[in-house]
Amino acid sequence: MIGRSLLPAVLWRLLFAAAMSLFAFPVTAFAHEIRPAFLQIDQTGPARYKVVWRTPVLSGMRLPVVLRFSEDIRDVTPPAERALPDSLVESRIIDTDDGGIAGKRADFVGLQATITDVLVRVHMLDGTVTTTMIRPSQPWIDFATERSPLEAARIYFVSGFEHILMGIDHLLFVLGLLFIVRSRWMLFKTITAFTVAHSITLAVATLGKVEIPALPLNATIALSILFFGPEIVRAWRSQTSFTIRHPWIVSFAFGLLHGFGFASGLTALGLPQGDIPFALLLFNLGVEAGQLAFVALILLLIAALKSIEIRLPRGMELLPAYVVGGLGAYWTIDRIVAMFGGLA
Amino acid sequence: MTAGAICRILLLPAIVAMGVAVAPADANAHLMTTGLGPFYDGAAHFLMSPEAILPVAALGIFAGLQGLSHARAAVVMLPIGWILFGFAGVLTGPLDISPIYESVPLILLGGLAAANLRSPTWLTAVLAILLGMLEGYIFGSAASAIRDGMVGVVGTVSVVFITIALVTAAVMNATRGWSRIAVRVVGSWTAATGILLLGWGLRSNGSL
Repeated sequence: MIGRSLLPAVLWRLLFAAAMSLFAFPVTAFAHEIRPAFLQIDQTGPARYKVVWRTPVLSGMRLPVVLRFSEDIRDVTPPAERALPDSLVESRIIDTDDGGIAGKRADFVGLQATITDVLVRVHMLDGTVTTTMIRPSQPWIDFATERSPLEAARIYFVSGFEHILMGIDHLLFVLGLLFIVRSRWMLFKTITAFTVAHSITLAVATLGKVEIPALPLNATIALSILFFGPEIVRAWRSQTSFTIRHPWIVSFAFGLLHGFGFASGLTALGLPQGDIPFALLLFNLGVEAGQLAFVALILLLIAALKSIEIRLPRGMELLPAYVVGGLGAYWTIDRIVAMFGGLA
Repeated sequence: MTAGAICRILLLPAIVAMGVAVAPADANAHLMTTGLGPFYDGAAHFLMSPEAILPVAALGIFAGLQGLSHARAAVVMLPIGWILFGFAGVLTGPLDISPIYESVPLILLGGLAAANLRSPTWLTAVLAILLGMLEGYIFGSAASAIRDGMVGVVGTVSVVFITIALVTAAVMNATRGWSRIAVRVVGSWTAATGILLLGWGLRSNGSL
């Protein structure tokens, strides 16, 4: 169903604007060192943390930046350095005297003399992850004592967005839907049904009303992808089936399953009891935003390929169906085998 | 070359890509169940590499300005060169490449996009495949440092294909005079960025 008809002139102008903005980003980014330095801090105990400090090496030159923690943070193990082809990686264990890293500071000595950024990622035991970009104009980080509501909202939203975009199985399911729907209205109904369904099960799972073991759930999600392989073939042959006539019903049914899968992503963040409704809303909004971004990208890509008149030759038109079905079959078998403890 | 012939050429890389894409690998909790962690690593590597995005986009502008046959040549040939030399790069291992070499496609393709010179389709096809070979080899050799580097290359090529297709189609459909001038200006910026990278590379090299 997807073609130029879905992309009127105004959308082509938007695509043009998007392509232009693609240049705005790299031109800005080029003002910086190509790769940022990276600091990863993982909490391993109440007052103990594992630190990985990675600095890029370009043309044999090390980035002249030194990581220095405030005085109330001490090294449990001395920094151990390892050279990779493109960077130097320094690892150590640190400890704090008064029970945590919150309220402490780390300085990046020498950063102000460079044009490099530092990406800082802190992973706490309760599952919360914070990511901060440090610029040369302010070469230090103050570890947050408590998250502001705005910051918490951002974390939940971004987690939802990342969860669906990093979940290739969820994306393949949505891709399968795109291949069988035949009109814009049906596309709208199908995507909405998927959204409503997974919102319901995401909520009941997060609130602890229903619990489904991960292994059978993952196997069934894989099966939902496999299911679309034959359906895409039928749609291409202009045959019909219940799924092709009513994709929104199938989308709703499988959406219930995928919602349980999303719940694992949300609970992994470690939810304070009082935050649950708020987190649920923001995480779900993030999932929807990611899903819509993916759908938009696929529609744009197909329209672009039609515009350039690139299409699969006869005999290969079913390649997408085989990709979706093949990966679905592989994951289904893989996960069922995992359910029974593997082949060994 | 017909679209059918071009797509038949794509068949082998597509099958190879599918084969390596399903190979299991470790990654974060979500990716561990899909076996596609390195796929995302490869995609992210390209998206965080402006020195690779710019020449790809400049090629897209050049091909889009030239017309349909050039656009098709660029969109088909670039991923082919990229994936084949990407796999070769994974097999041959890490590569220490000077920014001097990386500046060449920026200057050449940016300059061509800015000049918008009429040229034969085969030239666009050759430029696309050469760019794919160079960048594919660089990215492939970088991916050799991670486990399942082949899957990483497939991830990179997927994003490269999407990028070149979107940019080329957008430029081809930009029919207004000002928009065609605007994309040519972007080409000139790309060339200028390449010249800056060249200067930096020569300076790092001790030649300046």
